[in-house]
Amino acid sequence: MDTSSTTMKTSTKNNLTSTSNMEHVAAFDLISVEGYRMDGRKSDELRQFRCLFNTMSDADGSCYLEHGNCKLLAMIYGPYEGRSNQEQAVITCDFSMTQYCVSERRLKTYGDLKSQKIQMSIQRVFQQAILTETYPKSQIDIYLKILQSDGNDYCPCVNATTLALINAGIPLKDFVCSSTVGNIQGKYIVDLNQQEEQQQTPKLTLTIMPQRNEIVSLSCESRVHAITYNDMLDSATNACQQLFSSMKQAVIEQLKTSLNLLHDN
Amino acid sequence: MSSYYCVPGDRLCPADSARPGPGTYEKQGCIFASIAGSIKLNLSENELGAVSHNKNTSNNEKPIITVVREEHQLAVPTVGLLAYCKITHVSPRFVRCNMFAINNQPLKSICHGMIKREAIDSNNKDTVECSQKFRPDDIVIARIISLGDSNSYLLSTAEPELGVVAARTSTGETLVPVACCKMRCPKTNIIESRKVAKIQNDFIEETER
Repeated sequence: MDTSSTTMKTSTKNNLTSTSNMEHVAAFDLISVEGYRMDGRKSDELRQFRCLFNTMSDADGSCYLEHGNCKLLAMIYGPYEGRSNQEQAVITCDFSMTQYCVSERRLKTYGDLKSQKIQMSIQRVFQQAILTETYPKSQIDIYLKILQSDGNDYCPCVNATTLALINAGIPLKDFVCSSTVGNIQGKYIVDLNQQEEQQQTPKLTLTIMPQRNEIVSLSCESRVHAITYNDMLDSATNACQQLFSSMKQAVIEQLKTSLNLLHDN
Repeated sequence: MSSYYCVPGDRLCPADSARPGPGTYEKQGCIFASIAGSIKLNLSENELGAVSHNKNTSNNEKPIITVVREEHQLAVPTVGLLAYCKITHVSPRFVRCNMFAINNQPLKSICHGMIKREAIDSNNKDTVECSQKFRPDDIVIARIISLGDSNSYLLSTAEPELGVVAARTSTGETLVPVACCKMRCPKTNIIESRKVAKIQNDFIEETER
């Protein structure tokens, strides 16, 4: 790490904005010569997506989601009559992690800055996505529980919440899909796992409504070149669209089975 | 049932060819789905009735497009509807039961109901004995007369069409109704007393509504 910082200092100002210098920062090769990543994926390949609906019988809508090694539960309670007297529904979000979800055991698993940040952003994203005016004076609670963490928690949380809301039958403007993209060794790789997430390379998190082509939230906390940025945005959009098609397929399959059951009875 | 499924955000049709119903919303001249379900087109009521009156207003000629989820979740106990219930407990003053369907739609979860002694029969109200009218495990049609307290809904069977529709003897034989207050076991010919429902054709239509 020390050597990298000295090279940064000695380099000219222009080099700081270019990403070519970043290649040497990575301690080991994340992408093989053949173009495969550490976990065997291609650069534009998403982690394995799997989801189950109605996992919690008590909740109005629930979803268990797997993004590769990331596993989480999303539960929706409501809409029920809330205390607020607003014209539109109030959305609350509660994000928590299990003690065993990361390699090091953590005793305090809620209320820290990171989970507060996720709670706030989920709340804001879904305040936009849910047709809140359908439920005046009511409240919708979102509960998220990470069972196993794998790098970025925010993206799987958004995707799981979307699926759980659809499962609960709450009217949404559109799906909300979220994905990350990173620029490692000059390649744009999507849906970063923990190993890739920890690299000192530019990362971008994008949340979109895929059928309306609207960006709901976008965050990029590192300095990137304008051209790189546009390419990153493009590949993030592609990743979200890929994710959307698998989410849609899962929803329709669930719909078919439940409606067929109804029809048979 | 239509086999067209849609998910939130699907564009269904332009706004000038239909009106948005439940499960849809209108934006930028198009109608989009807001929930996942199957698509249904309903002709508006005005069109089915008197068409000739409102021809100048184009709004009434459009069909309503809706997205329907699993229908059985929509059943909610409401005053005046008929409930299918199973008797769970018989005491001298009231009968407790579990409602499992409302108007031929199964409920998402079982609701608790109570039939008071006065509400069992319309004639001889004062001499009614609960144990002579219902037994645990009888299947009963009853009308919801009040939302009751927090524990249970209040039900009534004080109509000739309401009461026991299916019952068994203590040995498990299916009873056959013989009169408005009697049921007979087909094997042993033992007569048991029940408040039997007198099911009529127009009544069946009401429950299927």
